[in-house]
Amino acid sequence: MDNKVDVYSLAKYGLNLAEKSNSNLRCAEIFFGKNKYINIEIEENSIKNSEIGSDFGVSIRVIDKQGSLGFTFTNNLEKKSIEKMITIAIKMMNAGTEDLDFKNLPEKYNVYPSVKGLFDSNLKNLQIEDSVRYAKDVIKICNEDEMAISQSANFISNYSEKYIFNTNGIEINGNETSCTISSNIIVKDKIRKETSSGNDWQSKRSLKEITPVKIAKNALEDAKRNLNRIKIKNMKVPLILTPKGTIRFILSPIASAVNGETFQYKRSFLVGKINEIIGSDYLNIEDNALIDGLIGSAQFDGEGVPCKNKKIIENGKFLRLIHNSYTAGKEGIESTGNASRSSYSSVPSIGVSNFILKNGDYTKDEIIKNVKEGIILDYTGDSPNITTGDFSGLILHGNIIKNGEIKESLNETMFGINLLDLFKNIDAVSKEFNIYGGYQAPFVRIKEVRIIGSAN
Amino acid sequence: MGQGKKFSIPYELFGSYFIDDEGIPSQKTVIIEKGILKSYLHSIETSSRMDFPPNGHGRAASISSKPQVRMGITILEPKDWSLEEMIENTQNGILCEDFQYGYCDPSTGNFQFKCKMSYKIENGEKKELMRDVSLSGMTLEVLNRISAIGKNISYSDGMCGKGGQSVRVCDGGPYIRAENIIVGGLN
Repeated sequence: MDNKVDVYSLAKYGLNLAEKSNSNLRCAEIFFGKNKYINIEIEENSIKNSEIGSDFGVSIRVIDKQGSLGFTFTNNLEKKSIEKMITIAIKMMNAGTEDLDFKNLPEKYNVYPSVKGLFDSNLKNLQIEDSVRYAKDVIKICNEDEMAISQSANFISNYSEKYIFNTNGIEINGNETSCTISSNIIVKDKIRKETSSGNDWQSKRSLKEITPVKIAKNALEDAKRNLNRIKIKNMKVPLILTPKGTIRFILSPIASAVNGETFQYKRSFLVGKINEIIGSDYLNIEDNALIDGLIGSAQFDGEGVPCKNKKIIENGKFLRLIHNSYTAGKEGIESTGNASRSSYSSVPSIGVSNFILKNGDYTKDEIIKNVKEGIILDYTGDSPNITTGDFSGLILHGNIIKNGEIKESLNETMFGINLLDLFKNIDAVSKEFNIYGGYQAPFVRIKEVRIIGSAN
Repeated sequence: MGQGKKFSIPYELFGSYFIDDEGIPSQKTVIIEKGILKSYLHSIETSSRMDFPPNGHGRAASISSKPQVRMGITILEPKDWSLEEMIENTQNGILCEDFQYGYCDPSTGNFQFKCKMSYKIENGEKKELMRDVSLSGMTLEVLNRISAIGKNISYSDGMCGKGGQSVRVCDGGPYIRAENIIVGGLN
């Protein structure tokens, strides 16, 4: 934070002013956020754009006794500007409509969990010249390969600080770093005149964990695996999801479906299914914010509530939702510490921390070896419908499995399934897993799926 | 703002603009004519690299974003079929009235299209509404399998989200019929 700005006295001043300004005020919150980032973009395998940016501001949330909300934000941190923002927020609150579902902002917590490895000083102090070196590493991999014809990639480093204060006694601050590298490579088989693309990415808390060469190599392998495409006939066969496929079909849809807000609006295919079996015994999911050094980890959420580890699904049984203080208040329970806030300029939404599908006992090779004929799916551009759970879409990156071996990649092949059927048909989960951002995903086998091919 | 009348479009559309965000006047760009690819959309950068004149497609969302090559109003020109004639002339097919989303893998040309309102066509008659229909194919193959183009054009507004920016665009076109599309769905 800018040394000239004393956020503590500004926050105290602001909260006092809000309380004094309106006798109908129930509670108020002040959130300070600062971000500093470096972004390097690679297009056509050369550095196209380098950017350094910073963002620094404060937001004010006031709520009256009838639940009416006023919210303002500014990047001017002078006292006069804060006064103006509070006046406007209170005007908005007075003009707003009542919301009896709102109960309260979080109360004071005396203890916060200890989570290590969220901040790396090397990342905070990273210079653009150093960042370019990481970008050059991925460019080199593409340049040195005969089949690779182009690459788009990104290197983004980020340092952020946040300070949360409210009139119920919350007073907490923290800082964290993250770094993301992604690569998308296009390859061409010059003999068959076939092109294909592949991608990979990683997001880490510290600079030493970032492996640009490995990411570019994975993207290259992925692209090559997607060459030599064949059309197949319609079939009913086992489907193996790679970790990326597992995120697409299991973790990401469940993360959306257990979001308290989605659920309360009845936009989730899991409505009415709490405490019911929704999947096979292999379906075990937790949302764990307390693992040292992971991207989804945090000591406190976007409203200052201590983060936790929560079991969401155990042996196929759906146990609980994730909440911020608003949706939890509506249910009459405590927030689960999942208030998510990407910037000071938005009100808190709800998001997962580290959303983990528990790994199983099989090795990846065992899972594939036992399949006489099947499909391995890595990527589709489609997403399931979260309200109905229905999915139908195109397999963009997938291969056929024959007698336990991964063979040709698929062309113009689609498949459709309802997610609840997919969850119930999980019959193996691998020991190996990959972490992509806040998702930890193993390989998963689905017993039987209807595949729609285009071969005559 | 736009030059709608000049190109015999009845009114100014959502994707109209006078000049692009690099100062190049907006202009009609013929992309495909009689089935032959004629030109690309260009910004100053891409046109200079390919040694073509720029054609006014360097568009940015705001002062804080860099111009990217993208469309303005994309139009498929109408021909002479009525929708009724198309349906009557179709033995077994799907009438897609609206779609949820669509995408194309640019490296392979494989596209996928998720219908919102789609009806079965059987023996030249429009039948029941179907749920969650997906259509797929290879772009260049399907363009060659267009067998009828309607006579009435309609327009729809939208936002182009390329590179995380939001820019006003518009599409216009009649009903078209393409043969042998792969159909996917739940059942």
